Amino acid sequence: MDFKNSIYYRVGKASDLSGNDRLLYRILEIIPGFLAWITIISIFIFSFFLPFFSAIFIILFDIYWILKTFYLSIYLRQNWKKTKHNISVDWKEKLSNLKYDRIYHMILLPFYNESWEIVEKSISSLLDCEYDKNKFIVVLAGEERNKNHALEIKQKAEKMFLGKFGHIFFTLHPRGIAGEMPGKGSNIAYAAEEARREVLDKNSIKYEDVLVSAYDIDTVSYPQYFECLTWNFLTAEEPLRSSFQPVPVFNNNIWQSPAISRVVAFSATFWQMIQQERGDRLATFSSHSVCFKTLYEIGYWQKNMVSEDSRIFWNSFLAYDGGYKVIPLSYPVSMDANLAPTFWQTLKNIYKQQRRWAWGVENGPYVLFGFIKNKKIPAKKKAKFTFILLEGFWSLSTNPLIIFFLGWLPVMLGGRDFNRTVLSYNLPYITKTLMTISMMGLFLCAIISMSFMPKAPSGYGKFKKITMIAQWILIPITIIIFGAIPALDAQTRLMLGKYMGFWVTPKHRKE
Amino acid sequence: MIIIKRKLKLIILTAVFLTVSPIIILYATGDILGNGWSLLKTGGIYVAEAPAGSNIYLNNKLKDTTSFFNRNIFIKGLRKGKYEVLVKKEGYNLWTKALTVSDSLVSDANVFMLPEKVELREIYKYILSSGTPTSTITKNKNPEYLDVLSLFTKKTPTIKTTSLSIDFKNNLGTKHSPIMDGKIGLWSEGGKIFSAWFGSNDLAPKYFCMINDCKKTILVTNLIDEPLRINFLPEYSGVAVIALNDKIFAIQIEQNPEKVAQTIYKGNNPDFRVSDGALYIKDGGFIAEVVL
Repeated sequence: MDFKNSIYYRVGKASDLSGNDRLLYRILEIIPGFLAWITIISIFIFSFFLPFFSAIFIILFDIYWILKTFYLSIYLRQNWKKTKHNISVDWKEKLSNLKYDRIYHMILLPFYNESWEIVEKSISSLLDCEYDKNKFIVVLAGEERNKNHALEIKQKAEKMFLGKFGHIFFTLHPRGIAGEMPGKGSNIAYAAEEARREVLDKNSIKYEDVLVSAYDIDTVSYPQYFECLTWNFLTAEEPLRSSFQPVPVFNNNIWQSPAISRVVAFSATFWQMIQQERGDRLATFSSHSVCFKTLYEIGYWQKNMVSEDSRIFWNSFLAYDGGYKVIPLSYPVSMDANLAPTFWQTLKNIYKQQRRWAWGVENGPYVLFGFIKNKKIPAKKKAKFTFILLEGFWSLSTNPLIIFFLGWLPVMLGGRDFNRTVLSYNLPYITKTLMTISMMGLFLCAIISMSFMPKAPSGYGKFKKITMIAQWILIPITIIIFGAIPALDAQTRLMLGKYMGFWVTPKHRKE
Repeated sequence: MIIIKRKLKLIILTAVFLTVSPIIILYATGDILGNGWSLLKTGGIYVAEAPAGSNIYLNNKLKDTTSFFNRNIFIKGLRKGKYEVLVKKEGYNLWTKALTVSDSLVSDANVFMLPEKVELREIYKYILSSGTPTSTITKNKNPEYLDVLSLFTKKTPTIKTTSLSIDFKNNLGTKHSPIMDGKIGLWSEGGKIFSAWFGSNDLAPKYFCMINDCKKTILVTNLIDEPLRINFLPEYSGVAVIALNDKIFAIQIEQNPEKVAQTIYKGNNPDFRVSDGALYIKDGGFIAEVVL
């Protein structure tokens, strides 16, 4: 059976299925949260009843963490060098050896209630790109839920940008379509289909000649991004079986954002950079690109779930029986770090955004269920991705807690007999020492983050620059409060069947 | 090629993990390599609460010095046996204790060191005050003196009731109505000073235990005569203060028979009171606060 045409292909949650399928999917939804909670509860139980073994586990885990940090920092450094190199490369020159003038770029810019200033900056950055603007199909995708605002943006965009691109096209995603969840996925899926009918078909543009970039509304392109993307597309082994992933750098408003927001934003960037070096385990995230032909074949983004950005990869992976991959571009696009009018609101927004990203756990049951149903995917591939996914969810929600918090439990709960042992006295010292060693990687983070900083606006002096380096001491806090806890929150919600809706990250910029 | 490189990195790091982990685990559990690669178990001594700048000696060998940030010293890798711990700091009484170290276990030593000359802040009966330059100096009664004096004139000392709601009715407590500090009780019976732990066994302070043997009631000291007054020394945990006919002294509450006692004040029938975390002494008309 062709998986793409099966009822399983567009499953959003267990209740979309029935009978045994529904039960199986529900069990798969429970697994990530169950693994996280069983780990945390086990540490408590073992710390109380078998503190010696719990302490040994924690020390082994600390060593594993250091080596993992070291291992990942190698990739971070590699990708940093590669990204810096790619920024300096003249992609136009590289492209000149290829026949590329047939390639169009469709840029989807979905918005809901973001201000004109944000939309305008994003579109203006496209104008600053060096690629032939006549080959740009800019799609501004508004929501009927906020119709007046959408029309206002359309009016302003027409006034300012009409005639400056090959095509600039507006869509208004209707509200209340049955089976859809309001959010980016349903909006851009609608926008892409509208653009196909109204722009591609009417202008006889071949689908295989169009590269679609699904942006966020705050995504700002670097000048040669589209040359880089085109080159990677044209030189890919299987361009129609590939998505293309830039490095999302959340630095548009980085100077104005508070330290916690900056650390969380750069942490996300660094994780993506690390993943770029491990392309075989890379899934699409946030702004990404794909050929329209592929997109059309797989039926666009899924409309009944939240994390459409990574789901589109898994849709394709399952639709093409495992014969699909993400090509890392190691080339940045800029986006906004979390920033709200008040510090407290910023913190709340960071938490909500992190939880929404962690809600990517909803892809876990979808993929595992797809692996069970799609017999054409090689077993080795299934095993590999099952491990990658489960290990990824588990480590996100539990590892920081084990490292920075649960490591002290055997001493606290182990009782008198344990607390008189040499191990009990050594545990805090060893844990502290191993943690300190693992923090060495923060120097690398500080150096790399500085290299991605845009020019400081006037009024931002030396003190601000010092805080840009000193901010990294916040990592133990951010990794728990804005890493493990929102991930555990998301996984617990999925485990309990309390499904999340799409939360639009408010965009705010201070002057 | 990239995959091979990645696998190589993983293999190297796995090898590092497998090599380093046993070493760190053995270090953590106190096992060391002996002759012929045999594993030897060791224990340790934990010296806690030594004043900053104290030298810690073990069997007369200097092991470490405490600092402002680290007043606790953990001496590891000790073979089982008896060790003499000596803590020295200039201007302070010596603190010494014999401790037994067992395999894989740690013996605790809570240091209690008072300055050789305990500082007293005399509370004067009168304070002098003057108004304008032409006015005469007048003597006024010192309100602090009166407050502290009132502590000594009250018949029943005011000690807050404990979670056990036991009030003591005299200066020495009794077995059934001890002087309480949290869940620790203190009383005297014919010159024998006892301390008891009224909490759960697992939460008993370490000084109620020797190795794994924890007692609910321990003998703090055995005096020839009944003391005049006993109480807990403020600012220190597990230290009793005792008034005798000729002095006031402090002694550590310990199951260990070797107790460390240090004199606070010498005088003629001196008395003391503990109030709001301060220790006041009275010797005739002389009243002072002990600077702890």
